[in-house]
Amino acid sequence: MTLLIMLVALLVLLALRVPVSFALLIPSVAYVIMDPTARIGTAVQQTVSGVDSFAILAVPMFILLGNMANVSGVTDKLYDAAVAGIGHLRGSLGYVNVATSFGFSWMSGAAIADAAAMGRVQVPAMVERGYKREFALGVTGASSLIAPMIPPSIPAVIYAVTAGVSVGALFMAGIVPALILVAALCTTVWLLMRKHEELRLPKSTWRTRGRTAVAALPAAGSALVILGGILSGVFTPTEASGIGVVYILVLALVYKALSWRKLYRTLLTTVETSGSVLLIVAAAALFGWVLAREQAPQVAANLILEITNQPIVFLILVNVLLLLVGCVLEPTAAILILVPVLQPVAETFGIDPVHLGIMVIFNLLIGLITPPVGLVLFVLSSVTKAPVPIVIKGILPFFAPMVATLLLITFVPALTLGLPSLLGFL
Amino acid sequence: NVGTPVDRDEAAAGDADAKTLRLSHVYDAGHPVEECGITTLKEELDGSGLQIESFPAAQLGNEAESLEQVASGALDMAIAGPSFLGVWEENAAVLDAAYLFDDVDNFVDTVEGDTMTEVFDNLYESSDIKVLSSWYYGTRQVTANKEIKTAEDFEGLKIRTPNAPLYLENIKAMGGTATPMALDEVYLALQQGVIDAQENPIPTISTAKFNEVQDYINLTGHMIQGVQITTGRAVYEGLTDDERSALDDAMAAAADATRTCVEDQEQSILEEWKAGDGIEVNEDVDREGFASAAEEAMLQQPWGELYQEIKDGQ
Amino acid sequence: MTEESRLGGSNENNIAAGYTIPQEPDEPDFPEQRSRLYRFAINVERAATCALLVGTLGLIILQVVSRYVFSTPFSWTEELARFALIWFTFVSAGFVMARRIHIAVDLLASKLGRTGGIVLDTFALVVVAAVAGLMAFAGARFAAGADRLLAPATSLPMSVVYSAAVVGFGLIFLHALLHIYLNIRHPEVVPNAMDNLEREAV
Ligand code: NA
Ligand code: NA
Repeated sequence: MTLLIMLVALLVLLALRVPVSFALLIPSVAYVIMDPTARIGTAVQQTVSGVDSFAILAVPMFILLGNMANVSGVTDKLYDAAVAGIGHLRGSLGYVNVATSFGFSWMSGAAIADAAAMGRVQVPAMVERGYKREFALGVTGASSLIAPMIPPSIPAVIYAVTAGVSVGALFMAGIVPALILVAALCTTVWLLMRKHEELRLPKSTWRTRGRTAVAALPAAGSALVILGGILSGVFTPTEASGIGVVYILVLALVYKALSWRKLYRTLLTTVETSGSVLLIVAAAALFGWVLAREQAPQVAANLILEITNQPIVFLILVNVLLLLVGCVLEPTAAILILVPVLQPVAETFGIDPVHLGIMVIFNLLIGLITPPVGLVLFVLSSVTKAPVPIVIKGILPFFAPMVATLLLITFVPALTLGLPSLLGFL
Repeated sequence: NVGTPVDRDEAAAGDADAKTLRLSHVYDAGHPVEECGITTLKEELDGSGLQIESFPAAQLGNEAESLEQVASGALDMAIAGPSFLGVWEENAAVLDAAYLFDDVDNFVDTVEGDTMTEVFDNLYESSDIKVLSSWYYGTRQVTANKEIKTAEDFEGLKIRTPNAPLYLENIKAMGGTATPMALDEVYLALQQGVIDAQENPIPTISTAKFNEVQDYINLTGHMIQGVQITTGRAVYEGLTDDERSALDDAMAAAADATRTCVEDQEQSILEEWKAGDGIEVNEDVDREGFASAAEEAMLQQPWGELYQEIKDGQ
Repeated sequence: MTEESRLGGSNENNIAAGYTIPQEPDEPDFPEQRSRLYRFAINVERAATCALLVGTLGLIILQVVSRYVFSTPFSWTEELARFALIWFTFVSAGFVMARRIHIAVDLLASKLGRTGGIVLDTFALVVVAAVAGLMAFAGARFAAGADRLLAPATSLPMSVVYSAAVVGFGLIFLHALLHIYLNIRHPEVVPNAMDNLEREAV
């Protein structure tokens, strides 16, 4: 009963546009006040405890890394290299769009940052070259979901901390699914573009290709620092996030892309996003404490076991639930609320928490491009001035590759668990 | 294939009339603390009018947080190690000092003896945290890629410890260079040679598979460790005499059960390693040498005199 | 990111009020444009959050350096970095409240129209102010009680750590009160529910 009231209160407060952090805090604080065996001091303690974590430190650092990479101009260099490399293909800017996002994904841990950056530059560029606006918006939105699947990834850090699994393992587990997503998106681009003979650029010379590739090479350094550092055991993921920031800072200085003012603004932009997210992390810790105290995982397990004892059915149920939640709630908040309850249940079904993690993350990412509250849709609309319905229309054809990827991730655990176990993380 | 079907057996329903005590700890549900200790506790309390509701895996907070909750009355019971109790009553940390005990019997005698009872009473007076029982948790041993017999063998070796000051001191006293690191990063760090060695109780070494990436387990036995089961003043004073004696008896049974489980595990894993061709077991360790070096260092600690007193009393 | 590309509060109402909409996080919003004292206070928040962010970064780097350069790595960098993150979280949350960009779900709000949106926003602010005030008050008592507990590696009193929540919730409380006042006195400068989306989200 208490659990039901907590849940309803959360939903009502969210609907009334109370910030997510406070929609989590309010019912929790009310619980602590009403339960005579609880203390309000514990509410403060658990809220602080939510961000008392060295692993969570990676969240603001990865946000800073992405923002800094954006300012440093490496995305332009990635774009130039992609155009020179594959510009002669039919519908090339579609592939270029995916490729740039893939390159940028090694520096950015969030989909919104990618959608905003790419939406600003590539959508107008594509429209100018004769591509349909819907297609340009669709491919930009869909490919922005690559960023949080490839390390660094903010949802992966949040999931790892919430579920108590290794951040490194989760980073590695996302790589193969991300590559599948890239392949699925390219296939969709091919299907949509195969008749458009006119949409291709002149073939670049090998000289241009070489020059642009060399210019884009420093961007790969970020991947080297983060992946290499974690894989060699030289840094922890959090330390890698700090080293990555320093690397991009040096790169931006070399490119002469940074003034003091720009640096200050980049820091403040990072403060704006991190402040909001970290307060949700803090508030969710208290909410999770109340759920644990009220035995929510056991209640959920009993509920689910009433319905099924088959892991496949359970996974389908989880997918449906997450797709629905993802439609209204932002991924980090959804992870923080759902994972403490779902993960113990999944464990009784013998599902590896790392496998569940990638499945949950990808599922919630799909929510970013799904109405009514798909944030990528709104951000694309606002940076390109295209009405939201046009963005939705553009993104529709890309749901097929998304769902196909999701089903593969769900039912073939080897795709997620293979790489991390090969590398000694599991 | 994905996962495994679940057997639907009804979970044992609690006794609706019994007084329920919430117990928080940081160990997984499969750990001897839960599987042997708390299970026994629950069984022994059956019908006594008290029942335990266990919250494993730090669901209600880590050790430091759970102790704060117990002290303030927000939580009924918590399990925490001596270093965490030391935050409230300095002298309680002595139990985590290197080479305090010769063996597990020694540990049991000490935690039940007068000296520690006085320390625990002081803790209760100053902080409202009542130690109900001490459970044997395991003996820490050093794994490395070389045999460690004396302090010289430690020279230049980077050895991982948990990030707690006393653990670092213990290793320093033994001649090693301690590097604090989170447990889930240790496997890779050992594999990649970022660190050379680590120390843990044998069951932990086995669960974390450190035996795959280390050549030797050296039976240093430098810390014979226990965890304390604590409750707050309000809860303790709220118990009737019958409930208190039922709780005391159940705690004693649970402490025995935990010790048996942990010792069985330690022994069987060690046997397995001795028989297999993976990690080698080095029993030739100069424990006296390490112990006297440790003693010198531990006397510098704020509870140095107490350390001496416990050692002299053995 | 270029100057004009930044998402602005696309709301004709505020132009009529003679108020320039901030396009960058360092530009003053409506109350900052009206009061120099308030602007100074917000600039202190800006500087404090940036300093905490850079300080945290410094501690991470120091930790790596100390492990590879010195024979004995520092044991306090991790703990201090965690505490810096706690302070960063709560002070930033205060600043984010000043900028009115805490993440919220815009499902219902976007359908309500301007007046309905402002009424709903005011309601949300009242609720936020009440709980933030309570948490700040409870936090102060809790922090005072934790004074005798010292953090293991740095020996900092835990009250220093818990004070972060007092400051953060205190700031949120004050900013919420100010926004309630502005919603009533200057409804024309209230941003629309769908403005600032890009800055809210991760
Ligand atoms: Na990424
Ligand atoms: Na893209």
